[in-house]
Amino acid sequence: MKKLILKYLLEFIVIVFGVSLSFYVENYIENKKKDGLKNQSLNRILQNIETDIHDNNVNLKFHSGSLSSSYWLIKNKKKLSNFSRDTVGYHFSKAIDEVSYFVDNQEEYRTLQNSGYMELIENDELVKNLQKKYSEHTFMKTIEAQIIERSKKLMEFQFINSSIMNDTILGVYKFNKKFTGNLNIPNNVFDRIIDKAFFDWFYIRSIKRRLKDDSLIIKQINKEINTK
Amino acid sequence: MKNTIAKYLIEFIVIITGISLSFYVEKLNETNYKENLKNQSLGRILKNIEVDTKDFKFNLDANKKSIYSTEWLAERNDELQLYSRDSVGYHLNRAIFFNTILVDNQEEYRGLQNSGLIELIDNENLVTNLQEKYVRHEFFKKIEDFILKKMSLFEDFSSKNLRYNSYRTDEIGMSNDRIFIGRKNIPYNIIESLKDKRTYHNFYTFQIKERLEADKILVDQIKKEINRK
Repeated sequence: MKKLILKYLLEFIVIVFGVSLSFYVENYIENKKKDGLKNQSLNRILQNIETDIHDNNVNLKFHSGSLSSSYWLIKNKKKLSNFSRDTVGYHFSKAIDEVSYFVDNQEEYRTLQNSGYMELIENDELVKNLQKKYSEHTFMKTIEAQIIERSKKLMEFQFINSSIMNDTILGVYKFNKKFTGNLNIPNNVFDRIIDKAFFDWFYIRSIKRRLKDDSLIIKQINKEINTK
Repeated sequence: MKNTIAKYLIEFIVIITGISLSFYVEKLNETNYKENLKNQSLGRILKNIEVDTKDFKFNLDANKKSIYSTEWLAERNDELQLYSRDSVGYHLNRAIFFNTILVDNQEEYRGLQNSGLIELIDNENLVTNLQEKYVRHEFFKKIEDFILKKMSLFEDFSSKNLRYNSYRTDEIGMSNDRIFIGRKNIPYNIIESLKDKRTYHNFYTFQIKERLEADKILVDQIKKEINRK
């Protein structure tokens, strides 16, 4: 009887162990596969972040240029006649025309989010930072829209009072406009420039913060990918 | 014969029990894993709610300032001559331009929703309240859009009657140093439009206050759900 109990007990243990081992191996293979896909996805996000950094640097240059021209105009608003019309036109053009359209590639991040592989990321801070990044992009686009709206309000003044100095329509816009209007410019134009400059300044601050945070995310992703 | 039947019956029971036990352990592990993921996700949502609360307080502050300044102008419009152009400009600027744009972080909530982990939340009220929260946020954005559209009605008037004194901003980072350069008193239709805009600011602040209270309940419910054994 004892032998029989021992036999069945052994059989029971073998079955439990065997099935559990199968589950373990199956889970291990599946996790390994998922981990590979997660890393592949993070790699693509890494490339997207590098593109974002490049775009943000371009936008930073644009808005910084616009802001410094706005400062120049406000500082010299009472003595604009002391400067050449080319210089005045150049600064008005930079202060008014320089806007940006940030178009980010969120496809890979959305895929990672919807596939459930996000859960496999071990570093919780990386997940939080990725989520923060893409929700901040929405905010940055909203600020950009505000800047564009303010730029549009000044366009009419720009068209009436300046002319483009070269007729080429190819290449990067160079802001070489000549101011042709009365240099006694109404104060509301300067007020609108200040208004736009405030948003430019705010946007520059957001970009700088984003660039810093993106560098951190790159480090965290590299660490996550290389985690064994 | 009886012995053989008993032998196979026992064998059958041993196999079934053994396999069932393995499945049970496997299922238990999976449930625990998912439960941890759910709690981790709720923990992140908790952090997002903290950020939302800060944002809501900021928005509440900005909208209250706009309401106060509208009332200040409406009450004193017949005697604006008694006040400095700085004061009138200060209040007119706040009444027109102090508006907010809510940008919330919904990423974790959407993640919880798409992963199906939301189904693991035991407290049905918590699920309903989370859904209600993010629907409410969309409603807030609609009201904000409405206020921004109302703001554009003052475009012409403000560009002719307000001038920046400096780039100075107030404690919430909004530029507030503008001088009134127009004719006192402010036209009746402008005051009426400001009062109309104020109605939406009022509605918005009321909604935000309600949301802040609801978020407190949500925080308690999430904490309870995470600590549930």
